[in-house]
Amino acid sequence: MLFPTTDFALFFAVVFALHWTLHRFHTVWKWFILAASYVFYGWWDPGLVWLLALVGTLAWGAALWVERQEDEGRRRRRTLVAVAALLLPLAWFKYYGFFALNIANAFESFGLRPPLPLLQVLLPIGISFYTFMAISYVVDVSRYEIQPSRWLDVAVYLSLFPHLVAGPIVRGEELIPQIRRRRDANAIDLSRATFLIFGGLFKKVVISSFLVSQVVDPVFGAPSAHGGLEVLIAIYAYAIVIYADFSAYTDIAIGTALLLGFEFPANFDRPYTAVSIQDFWRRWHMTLSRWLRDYLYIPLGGSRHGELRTAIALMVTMTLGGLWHGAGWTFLAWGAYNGLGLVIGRRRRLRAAARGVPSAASRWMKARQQILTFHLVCLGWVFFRADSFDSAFQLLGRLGARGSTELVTPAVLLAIAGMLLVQYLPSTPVLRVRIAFSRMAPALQGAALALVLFAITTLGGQGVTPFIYFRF
Amino acid sequence: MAIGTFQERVDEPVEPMRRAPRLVGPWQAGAALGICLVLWALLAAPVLERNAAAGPVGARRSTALAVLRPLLAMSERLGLVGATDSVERALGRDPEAQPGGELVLPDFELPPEAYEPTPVFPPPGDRRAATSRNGGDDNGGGRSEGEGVREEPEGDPTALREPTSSNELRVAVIGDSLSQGLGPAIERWTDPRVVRVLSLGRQSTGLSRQDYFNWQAGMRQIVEEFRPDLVFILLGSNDAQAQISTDGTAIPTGSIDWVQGYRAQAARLLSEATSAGTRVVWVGIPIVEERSRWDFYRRVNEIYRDTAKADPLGRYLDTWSLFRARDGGYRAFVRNERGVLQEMRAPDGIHFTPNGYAYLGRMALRAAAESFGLAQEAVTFRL
Repeated sequence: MLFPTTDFALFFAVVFALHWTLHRFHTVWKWFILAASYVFYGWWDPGLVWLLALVGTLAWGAALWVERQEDEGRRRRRTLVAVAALLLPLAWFKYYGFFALNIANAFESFGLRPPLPLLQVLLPIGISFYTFMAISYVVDVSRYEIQPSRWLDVAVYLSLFPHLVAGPIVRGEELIPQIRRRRDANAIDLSRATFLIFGGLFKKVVISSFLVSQVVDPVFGAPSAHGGLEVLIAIYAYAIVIYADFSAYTDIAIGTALLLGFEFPANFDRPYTAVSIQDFWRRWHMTLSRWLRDYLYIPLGGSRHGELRTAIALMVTMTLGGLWHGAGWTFLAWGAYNGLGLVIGRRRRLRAAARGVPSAASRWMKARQQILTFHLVCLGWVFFRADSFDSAFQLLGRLGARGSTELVTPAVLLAIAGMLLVQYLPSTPVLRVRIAFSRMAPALQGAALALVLFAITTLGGQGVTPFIYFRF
Repeated sequence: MAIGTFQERVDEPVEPMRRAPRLVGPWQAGAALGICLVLWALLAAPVLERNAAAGPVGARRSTALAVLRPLLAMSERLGLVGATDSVERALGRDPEAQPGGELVLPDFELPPEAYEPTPVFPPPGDRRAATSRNGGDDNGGGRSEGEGVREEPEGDPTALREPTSSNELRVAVIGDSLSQGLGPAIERWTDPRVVRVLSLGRQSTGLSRQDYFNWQAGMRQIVEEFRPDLVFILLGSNDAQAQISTDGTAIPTGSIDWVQGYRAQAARLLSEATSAGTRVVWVGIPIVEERSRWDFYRRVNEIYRDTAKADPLGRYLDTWSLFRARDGGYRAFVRNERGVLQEMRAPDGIHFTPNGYAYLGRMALRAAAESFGLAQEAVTFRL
């Protein structure tokens, strides 16, 4: 079920009413919200709900199995086995086809028969997200950070529909206590929830859809037909599209959860104001960044074992992070590129610190770093979006080419500039509007929201494309 | 630590607020959201009703219309329809337009040669009938005399002209969502210095639902505004449903009338292009994973093939066989021209991956080269 659809609006209306009716009967409520989440998930393919239930059951059982072992070495081994077991469905559904195809072509180039059958396995939506949440739950239990929970609590934690498909990746310690306790029925932050939901709708339905159809798809689809300026604007536009699209999803997810009385962590913090690649990853998909840090980078040694080991840990973490986004060489390269950015950035910072260069830069220096970082990130997005290295290099090769500029319209430039500009604006005025909105009568609130929604749906035109991160 | 510490906007100066947003209970939240949805539904009733009416005939469409028509009536009584229509017009849209929208071709100047009569093959008998419908109805019934009608050829009558940088070969790609992938692939494999490609595919369209989007009228507009030398058509994957014309007349699926009506629609679409001397490569529907669709797709492919065969300026490209496995079944992994295995079909079993569209694009251009002598200089790969 896509968020910005009539199907979801009707689904949520029913869930909202029943959720607040049943919340006093805690166990009944848990079964209800689990069933509602399974319906939400099964809307795409009812045949895959079993997988979600299986991963939940596996995580629950594995956490109990790990928790019972008190010997540290054995506990660690059990954790590794549990993590491997949780990764198996992801490996099969997401990566089998990619590896089988590459192995087949490698074998055939030596005149050998491919060892694995070529199968196109349907990727279950959200599997990358709920697998990572399941792993974090088991590892947190093994690290004594949380206690194992009942099956129902774990199942609700992994399946809760607002975060189910594309995050944010919520940790057990953040969500399970919220599932265990009863909701405060008089503490719904309606103004924050609606601002997040309607802001997300605007970003997705108006900005992202517009830029995709007007400039991104035409240019990335056929780079050779476009001149340098169109290519440059298409690259900027894609940077905005992926931000608007993904942050829209998580904004709507966080807003929807707020209406049900749940608090999810933020996932974006004005990423295009970052002054370095390191800073960018502190602001972009923050719940994935911290997952990679806590469950991959630190176990690989982090920064405690010298510079070389740190660099290797960073490269491995980010390359695997790239592969998490998709089974393809371009995703792998994108991850490695970001890893390299982090390694180089770290070296530069350490050298500057050794020379006694103050870290507090002037406003001009900061602006220069922001512009440089934005362009480095944009370069990475080219490989992220392109369907092959050929396409990516063809696109980059067109940057200096002459050609038409008809796709570079004032509306396209306004959408890009506007989305960049809002990241530099303070949030205080929005908070003031939220406060004023929260003090309005429900009828006025409804009328104001209806006008905003009408404006969004009218400006957005027809149809809603699937969110980019659904694929991951 | 190099990556990701969780933080809220730490670099932003926080201004102390005397008041905080008020928290509410579920009744107030539900009331505000409910009022929002009802008011929005009243405001958007015309669009919602049009979209619902454009859906496939069935229980979902009937239910949606049963809810939306009274809502639309209420919206009209409240005078909201007039207001929302004004908003649509202010945005440059026609509120009376078909639910599938209108074709908007980019602004560009055609070279003077585009307006000159160019040679075409002598029209077949039915061509005369088609072109005699000058000034026909909205469904596209030909064009004014002299406008776009081209003269007898001297050499190979079906051959495309040599493209030049001052008078590029004009190519259009039309059809459903499959054509939306084919269009960029055609664009990718042609040389932009001498070929101008317009990718005009429309999602969820076809020949069955003229009430949703009318491709004959679309083709007529393309011919008038763009004067294409070559058109690629790829549609039909959405057409396994009742035919509904622009005036709402319905022909149920599975009837002889449906087949005859569909054949006529296909012939009219082709004629809109070829009567103006435009060459057409009609790309058939490729084999799909779901076997229950095979019978229908094969039947409409036969219609496309027969239609294209009947016209000297038409060519049918059989993609069913192109993407079929040796045992006649569906396969997602296909070898390209160099013998490299690639995942060419999308996981939905209907569409293509970028590699698949690229291969399909090359095959479609090869078909144009074989049938109409598309020049090697026009493409960026070896024909």
